[in-house]
Amino acid sequence: MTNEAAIQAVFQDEVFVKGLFELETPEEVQAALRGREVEVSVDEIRQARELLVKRMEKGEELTDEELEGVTGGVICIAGGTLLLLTAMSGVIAGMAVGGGGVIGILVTQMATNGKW
Amino acid sequence: MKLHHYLRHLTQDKESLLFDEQCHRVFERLATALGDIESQETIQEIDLSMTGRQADYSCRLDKTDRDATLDFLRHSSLAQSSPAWKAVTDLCAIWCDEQSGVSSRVSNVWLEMDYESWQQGRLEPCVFFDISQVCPRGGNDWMYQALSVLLGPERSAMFRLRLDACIDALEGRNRQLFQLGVMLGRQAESARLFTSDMTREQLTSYLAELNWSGDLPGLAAKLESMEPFVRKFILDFDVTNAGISEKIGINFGLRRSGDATVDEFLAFAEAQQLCVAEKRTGIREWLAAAPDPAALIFNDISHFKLAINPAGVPKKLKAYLRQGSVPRRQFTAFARPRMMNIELTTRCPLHCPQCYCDLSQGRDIDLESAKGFVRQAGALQMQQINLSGGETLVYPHLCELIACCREHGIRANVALSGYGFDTEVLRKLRNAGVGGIYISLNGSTEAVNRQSRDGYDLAVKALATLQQENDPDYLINWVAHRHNVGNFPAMVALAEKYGVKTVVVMAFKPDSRHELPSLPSHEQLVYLADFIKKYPAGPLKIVIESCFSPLRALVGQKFFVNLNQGIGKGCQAGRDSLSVNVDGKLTPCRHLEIEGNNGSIAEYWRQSEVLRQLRTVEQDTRTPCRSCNYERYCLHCMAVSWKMHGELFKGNDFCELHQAINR
Repeated sequence: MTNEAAIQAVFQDEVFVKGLFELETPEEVQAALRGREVEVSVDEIRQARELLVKRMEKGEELTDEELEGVTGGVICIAGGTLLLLTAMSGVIAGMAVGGGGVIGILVTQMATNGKW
Repeated sequence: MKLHHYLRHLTQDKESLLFDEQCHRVFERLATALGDIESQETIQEIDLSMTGRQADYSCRLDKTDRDATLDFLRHSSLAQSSPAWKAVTDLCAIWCDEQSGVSSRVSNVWLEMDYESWQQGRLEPCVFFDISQVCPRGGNDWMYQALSVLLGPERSAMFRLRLDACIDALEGRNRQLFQLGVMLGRQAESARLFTSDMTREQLTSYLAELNWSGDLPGLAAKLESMEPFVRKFILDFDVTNAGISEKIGINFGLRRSGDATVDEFLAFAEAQQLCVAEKRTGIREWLAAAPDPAALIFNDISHFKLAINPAGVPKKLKAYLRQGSVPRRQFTAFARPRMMNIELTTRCPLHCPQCYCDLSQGRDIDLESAKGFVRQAGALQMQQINLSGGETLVYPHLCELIACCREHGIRANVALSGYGFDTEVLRKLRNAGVGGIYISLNGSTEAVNRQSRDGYDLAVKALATLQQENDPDYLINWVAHRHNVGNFPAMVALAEKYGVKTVVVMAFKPDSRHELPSLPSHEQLVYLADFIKKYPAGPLKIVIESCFSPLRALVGQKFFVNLNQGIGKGCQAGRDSLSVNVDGKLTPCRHLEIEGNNGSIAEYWRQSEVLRQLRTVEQDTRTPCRSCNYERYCLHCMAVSWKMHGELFKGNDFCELHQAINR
C-alpha cells in the first residue's frame, strides 16, 4: 500500500482518528500512525497541528495553497503528505462546540455528575 | 436518532418565519408516516427568494441506519402504497446485502420529501445515494445496479451512455462525484447527478465539455461575484437520454463559518434580489435557536444552492437548513434546562469547615413548592434533579420528593454525609426511586478529611453499607483542597476498596462566609491532572465536575487540541442547569444566590437578565482570565466572581492555574 493510500484508509477509521486526539505528543501520534503503516515525520505532524489550530481554534481561513492538497480528507503539506482531514475536522467540530461529538458527549456526561 | 425527534424539535416554534401553519401540518404528517426512521441529520430546503414559508424535507441515512431502515420499510405499509417506496425498499435491500457491490461502496442514502407532493397527500420520496466511489472509465456496474432498482432496468440502461459520458469527462480533473438521485416523488424521467466540489474554473470547463447549452460566460461572472463568500461549488444537473438539463444547480458552503458570515452573505443575496428580508431574519432565528437538551439536536445551515435557469441566470437561492446530532456551531445554552438542584434544607448536625450553607437558621423547603418545581421540570423533560442540603436526610419529605421526581420521569440524585444512613434508609431511598447516591468525603483518613469536612466515620460507614447491599449506583463527592490533593491516590484506593462507581472531583467554591481558603496550588493541580490522566480505565471512574474548569482544561490538553471545549467546559449556571433554594426561589446555581422572582422555570430560563448575562460572560472576558493561555478552554465558577468580587463579569483572581502560567 502506498503511503497516501494508507493515509486514506486510516482516516476513514473514525475510532482511530478520535484516538489521535487523545495523544499528547507528536511522537505518540507518529507511533500510532506507524502502527497503521503511515510514515510521517514529527515536523509534518507539527505542521498539521498548526493548520488545525489555525482552522479550528483561531477561525482563520486556510490559504489556497494549504487547501490545494485536500483530497478525500487528506491535506498534503509541503515536504510530505500528511493528515489533517475532513474526518478530523468533523470530530473537532463536534467537540469544539460541545455536547454532541463523541468526546463532547463524554464531557457532557461528566458534567452531569457534578454541580453539587 | 429517529425522525420524530427531529420533527418535534422543528415544530416547537409555531411562530417561525420559515415554516407556516400548512408546512407544520406536513411535518406532522411526516412524523406520523416516517417518524421511526433512524437518521444522522435532516435538511429543510427553503426558497430564500420567495416569501412562501414551505420546505422540502430530507434525511441522511448512513450505514449504521440501513438495517433499521430496511426493517422499518418492510414492516410499514409504504412499500405497498406506491412504486416509489417499493423502489426505496429495494435500494435499501441491496445496500444491506453484503454480497452486492452497492453495500461496500455506498456510505449514505438520502430521502427527500417534496413539500407539494406531501401536502397533496402523495407520500412519495425522491432518493439519492452516495457515488463518491465511482471512477471514470468503467468499473461502475454497482452504480447502475442501484440506479436500475430506482428507475427500472430499461431506463437505467437508456441513461447509461449519457451518465458514462458525464463521469468520464471528470477524468484528469482530479474530481469526484457526490451523489446520484432520482426524483421519484416528481415522477421525473431523469437521474440527477451531483459532482464533488469544484473551483469556478473547473466547474465552467466541465460544463463546457458537457456541451451545456446555457449562458456559460454569464454563469462564470455570477460565480466570480460570489467568490468573496464561496471558494468551491458542487454542480448538479439532470441527465436524460437526450443529454444534460439546461436547468442546473450550484451548491456551496461559505468560506468562513459563523453566523455573522451567513448574515453578510444573505445581505449580499438580498441586494441581488435573491433573498427576501423575512427569510434573512428567519435564518438568523434558526441559527440562534438553542439546541434541544433531551435529544441533543442542533441547528445549522448545511449549504446554499443557486438554481440556474436555462438562460444561465440565477432564478432562486435556496438554503438547506440542517438539524443534526453533531454540533457544528458554538452555543451557550440549551433551549431548556437539562438539570436542576433543589436545596431541601439548611439544617445539618455536622459542622464542616468548608460548608457552603448558612446553617444558623435551619429551614426546609416547602414540600408543595418543591413538588411544583418537579412538575415543571417534568413538563420541560428535564433529565436530572440533584437534591442537596444541609444534610439531605434530615429533610422529612425526602422520599416523597424522590418519588415525585420518578413519577415525572426525572432521575433524582441525593448528596449525603452519611449521617442517619443505614440499610433501612437505603431501602426506603431505593423504593422511592432514587438515582445516584453521592457520599461526601474529602480524605482517605479522618485526619485529612476533618480539615474540610466533618463526619468521616459516617461517610465510610455509609460506603460500607452501600457495598454490603450491592447498591448499583453510589459515588463519592471529593472536593479538592490544598491539604488533601496529595491524599487523592489514597482516596481513590479507598473508593476502589468500597466498590464505588465514580469519584467526582469537585472545585471548592466560596464558603458560607464568602471566603476561599485552602485552594490547591498550581503544582497540586498539575499533580491531580496527571494522576487523573494516567488512572487506568476500569470499574471506578474519575470525573471532574464542570465547575472545576481549570482542572478540566489541564486534563483536556492534548497534542492536537484541548478537549475541554463547548458548553460543558466550565460553569453551566443558566446554560444547562439552574437551582431552587430553600426558600423556593429560582437561582442560576446553588452557589450563585441571586434570586429570581418568578416561579416559572420556563419563563426564568427565557427571560432572566442574570441568566442572559451568565451566557455572555465570554464576550467580555476580564483579566486575569483574558490573558491566560487556557482562556478558550476554561470558564471558571461564576460564584467566585459574584461572591468574591460582587460582579459576574470578572476574571478569577483566585485561579492558581493562571497565576502560575503568568508568573
